[in-house]
Amino acid sequence: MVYKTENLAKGVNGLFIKNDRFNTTLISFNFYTPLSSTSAGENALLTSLLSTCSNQYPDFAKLNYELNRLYGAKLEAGVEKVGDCLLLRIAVSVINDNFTLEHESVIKAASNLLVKLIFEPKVTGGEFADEDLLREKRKLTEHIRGEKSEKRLYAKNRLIEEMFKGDPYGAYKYGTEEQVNALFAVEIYNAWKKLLQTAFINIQIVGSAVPTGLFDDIKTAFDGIERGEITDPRLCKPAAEAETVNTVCEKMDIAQGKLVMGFSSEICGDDDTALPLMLATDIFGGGPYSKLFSNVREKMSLCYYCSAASVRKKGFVTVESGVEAANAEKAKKEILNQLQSVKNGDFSDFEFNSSLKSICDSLNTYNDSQTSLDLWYALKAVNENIYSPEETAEKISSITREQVISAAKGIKLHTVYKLLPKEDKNA
Amino acid sequence: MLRQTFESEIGESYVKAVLPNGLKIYLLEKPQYTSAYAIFGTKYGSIDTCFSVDGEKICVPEGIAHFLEHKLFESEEGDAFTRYAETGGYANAFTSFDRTCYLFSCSDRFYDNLAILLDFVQSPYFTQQTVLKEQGIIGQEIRMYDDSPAWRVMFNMLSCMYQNHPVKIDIAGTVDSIAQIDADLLYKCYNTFYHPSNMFICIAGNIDIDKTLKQIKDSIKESSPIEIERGEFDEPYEITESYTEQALEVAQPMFCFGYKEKIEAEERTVKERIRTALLLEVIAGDSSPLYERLIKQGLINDEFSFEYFTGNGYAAVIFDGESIDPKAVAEEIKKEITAIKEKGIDKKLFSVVKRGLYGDAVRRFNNVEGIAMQLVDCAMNDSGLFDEIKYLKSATAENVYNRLLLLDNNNTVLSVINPKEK
Repeated sequence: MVYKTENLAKGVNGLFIKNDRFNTTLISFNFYTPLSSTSAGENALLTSLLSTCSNQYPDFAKLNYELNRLYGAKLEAGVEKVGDCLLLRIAVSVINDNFTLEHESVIKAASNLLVKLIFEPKVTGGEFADEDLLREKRKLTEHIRGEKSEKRLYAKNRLIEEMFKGDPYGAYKYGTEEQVNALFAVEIYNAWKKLLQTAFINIQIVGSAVPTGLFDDIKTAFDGIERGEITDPRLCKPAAEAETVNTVCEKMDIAQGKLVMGFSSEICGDDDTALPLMLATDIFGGGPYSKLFSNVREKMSLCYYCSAASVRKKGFVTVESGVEAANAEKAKKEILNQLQSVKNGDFSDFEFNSSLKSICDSLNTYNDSQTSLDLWYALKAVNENIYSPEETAEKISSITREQVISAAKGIKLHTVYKLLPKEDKNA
Repeated sequence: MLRQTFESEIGESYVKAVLPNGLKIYLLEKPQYTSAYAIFGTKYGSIDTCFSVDGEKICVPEGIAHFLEHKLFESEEGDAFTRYAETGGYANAFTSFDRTCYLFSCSDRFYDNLAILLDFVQSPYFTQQTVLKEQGIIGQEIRMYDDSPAWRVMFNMLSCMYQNHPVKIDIAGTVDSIAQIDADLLYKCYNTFYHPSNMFICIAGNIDIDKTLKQIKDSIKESSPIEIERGEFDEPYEITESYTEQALEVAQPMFCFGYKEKIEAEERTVKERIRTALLLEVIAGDSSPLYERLIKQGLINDEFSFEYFTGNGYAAVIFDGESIDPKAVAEEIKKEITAIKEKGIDKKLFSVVKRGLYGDAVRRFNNVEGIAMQLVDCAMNDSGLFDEIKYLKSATAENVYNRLLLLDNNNTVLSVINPKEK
């Protein structure tokens, strides 16, 4: 085990991921709360509000000024879907004290700043201030619109929405523009209270030491908070197999079409059970050695990108590609042919070993990136047992061809989403 | 072989070596790291569309440097990706305006990966058949960029800003221009620009410097340094159009607002770049009064950013983002620049943004990919890896103010992408 855990309050853990190679220290607060189409918007807006001002720095300009003064400390905040939870993350990273020009204590200052952002937001009379609320609503709704403008992302989001209709996982992580605009200041305040009372919380430190007093400060902060029934991030309902394949086609005034396919997987869950799905997906559509790259792109010249990815906890696989409208059906057929060949065990030892080596090589680089390590552990909190990237690489190394074929056989087409140009007569 | 070691006060050091054939090598060892990141590159990008071969001036189709990058992965025996698949290394390549870089990252078998990189970049193999196949793939890459509002807003701006300089042309070219590429043209470009004296190798991570240097030296083909005659750009100071707009399938307007600078020397020095970076933080950084005003007025959001966009024969300061009213943003930026010209730079703000950029410079040494990319900048500009920290520390509000005088409110371009009307 390369990290140490300390329980700070009920359902609140401090994780110290010790790593001496960085010039910086990273501290992240990770809140896991049930994902739902009605609460995603308020949680996303809450994350924005908490990370732009506090009682200590009531104005975002003052906060930014202080971050610059702390040698360009980086404050990052965002939301992610993980399992059946929405993960709210607020993190700060700061250069280590020994790199400052005047030997100042910046780690402690940045760590205090982060704790105050979370526990002492700018709230008066049980509400966030209107000016802050309006500003963050505007920025969040513009961000939602911005994601619609990037067609690759838009197409992927639309596939997930279609594939998980009726499942909380189908919710867009920021909520909809309408939901965000309809929120009241008091609702965000209540969401903040609820988060501190019921979310499962991990505070992670990646660096050479836990900032002095950080864990004690957090314990003290939770002394005054009644922790109720805590969200269990491990609970997750896997994607169900489709009775009939759902095909959705949208048209827009664009140059290139997007073909995105969603598959359910019989193998799903934790890294104790679902790693063969990772390997099967990689042989199917991972690196340049994969079936999709070498056939759909290189041999058939149908697209610039065509790749597959798996979400193991939720038990599904996606394939994304950018194709001419006239080639969309041809590409779809070939993608399915290539999946069938993995199911049939029609892949060489070279393909199997290439995938294995590529995944393991990549996992073994995680320790060289502070942000990757932080995110790794944040996403693993939904698992029963948590393994380091190296431990995961070791587990993957023992996977057999038969396990891969068996995982591939459980991958079944669920939803096809096509975004096609309006004017292409061949579509 | 010339070899020098450079050390810095933040505890990092690197080696620069130059082989007799002119190849530049930059190596930074990080023994406590697991991985390494290596780049083999050439000073050859999309702007090198005209040059001389044996005294004869030729102009080649737009997008050929990028096309060549795709094709170099292939050899008679198969492609380089297949060889990397054997080692588990991650391999890729990119072409920008002024450089083409081939790279790999790995946590194991570094020297095997390096052998593949050194070999395939030095072994061109182009046939008419493989050229044809690539036209389909790159055609799809170009179509993808046609739909990218962030890409379009930038190139629409560049095409109004530059009259002759090829920086205004899409890096991948167009479907029509790449149709004119053949194997013979690819060889002409390769033989001109992929000469060791025009190339560099930059590596950071868990490596042994002596062993790495020896392997490179033993694998690089012998040749004498050559002089490349590049085309001249003959770019006037003036922009062609101050405003351009395009309608795309976007949900809200995007903008790119640029100041074209006067070019006095081919390239800006590191000192000039650092001072401009500080200046931009003072004008529009997230601690600046302008940033605060634009956010409060609802004119920008977190997507707002700026950069100093510069290379051989071009230099511009560019602000970009999303806005309900891009024209109002451009006016506010102009007003702020006029105000700072009159009032001078706020000393307190200057000292804070200087600390911020110093922290960023220290932070960049966390990451082997980032270091390798910085070493490429060193090779391209003939600068030192620790110059940034040195010039940041010595910068003053006065010498940064001098950079402000290059920003001419009458030589700007505003490019806007608007949503299509339904």
